[in-house]
Amino acid sequence: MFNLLSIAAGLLVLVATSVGATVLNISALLPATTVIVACYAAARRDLFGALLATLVVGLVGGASIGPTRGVDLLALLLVVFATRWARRRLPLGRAAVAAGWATAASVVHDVSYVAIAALLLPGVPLAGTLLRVSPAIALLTGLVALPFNAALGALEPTLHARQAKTTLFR
Amino acid sequence: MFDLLLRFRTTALLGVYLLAAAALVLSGRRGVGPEVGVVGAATFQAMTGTQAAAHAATASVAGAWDRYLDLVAVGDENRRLRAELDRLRDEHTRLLGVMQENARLRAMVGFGEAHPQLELLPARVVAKDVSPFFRVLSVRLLVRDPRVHPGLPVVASSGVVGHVSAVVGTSAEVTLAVDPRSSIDVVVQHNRARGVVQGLGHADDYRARIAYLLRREEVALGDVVVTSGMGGRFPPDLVVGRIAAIREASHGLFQEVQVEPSVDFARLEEVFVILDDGAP
Repeated sequence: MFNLLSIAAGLLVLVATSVGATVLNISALLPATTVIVACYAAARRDLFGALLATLVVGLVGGASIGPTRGVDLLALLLVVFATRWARRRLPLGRAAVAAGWATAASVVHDVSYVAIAALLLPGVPLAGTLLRVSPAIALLTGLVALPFNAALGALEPTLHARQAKTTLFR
Repeated sequence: MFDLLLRFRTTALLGVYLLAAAALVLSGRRGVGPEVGVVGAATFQAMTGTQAAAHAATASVAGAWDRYLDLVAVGDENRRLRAELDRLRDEHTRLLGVMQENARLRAMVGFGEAHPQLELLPARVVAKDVSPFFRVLSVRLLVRDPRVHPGLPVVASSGVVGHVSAVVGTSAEVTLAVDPRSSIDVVVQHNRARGVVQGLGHADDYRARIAYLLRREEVALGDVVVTSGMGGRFPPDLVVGRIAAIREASHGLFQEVQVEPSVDFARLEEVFVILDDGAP
């Protein structure tokens, strides 16, 4: 149920971002919506839910259907594991903290993407693809992640209750 | 089996995830198609289908938004164009007035150049009397001149207007040539047949008649009637009008002839007072 909610919310953000980009005629500076969804799912779901949401949204969330999408999926996988690691150390249930983490995760994703692409894809120089790492995109991702996490957090009171109960018995 | 799958679902999904990613990465090396393999082809199909649906949703929402923006823009443009149209209409009206005034002033300048012997004092028409029995105008002299007095002739570029009947400062009352009280000595231009133009006082037109025109004088419709210069009030050969009607009387000394004034009194805006009557 909550996994479907993550996927639906992720797809909704993808469409909203795409519509916004079309309406505002922006193509270069877009938030990494797949990173937002991956962070959210990894922070609030089990690994299965996180992988499912990231896989679906990661497959859909890009114009490329070629090898770069595969590289993107691998980079997102790193984001998922990084977020799983971070959620034990950071209060990612709070929207502001989650947004900050999404900013950092966006940088992690971009650096991973560049590294994996240089490693796996023939003819992709590491130096050239470093241009893909954009602080502006990371900041924009954090900005979009803030309302995303706040809205979904408001939609999941039962999840909060369950998390609180788990913490109590731990 | 189901329990086993449920138990290792995370591992299985991780495998699917890695398989999909690997298939996609490999598709760049071997091309998209049967060479990708079953997993790669299935991933590819699912991905393109989902992306097509997302694209359709995006396109429809963006299209609706674009149409809305277009409508808003059309509304704004419509208001802007209406305002522009109103402004241009006002300007057109103003320019039309300026052009007409320019034409009138040119005609007045032409009149002055055609009669260099006359000393002309320009005046602007400020009011007209609506009564058909008293055809008068109020004019405002452009400069105050002590030589202006009742009886002085008033003309326009197209012909005789009347005479000054009262003066107060720079304001003057002009009795028109078509007023029943007015009498102007005239001749028919082509045969110099003499008569006196007097107003008829019609309610619906500005016609006058020529009194004392002898029956033996041959006149025709359209003949031009000009001032004779007799009496010393009006200078000679100023156009008064054209013969518009001739009534053949079976008896009497004179014939009844009506004159259509050359001046359009309804549209008269500028006139001259002739200070020097130009009498020979």
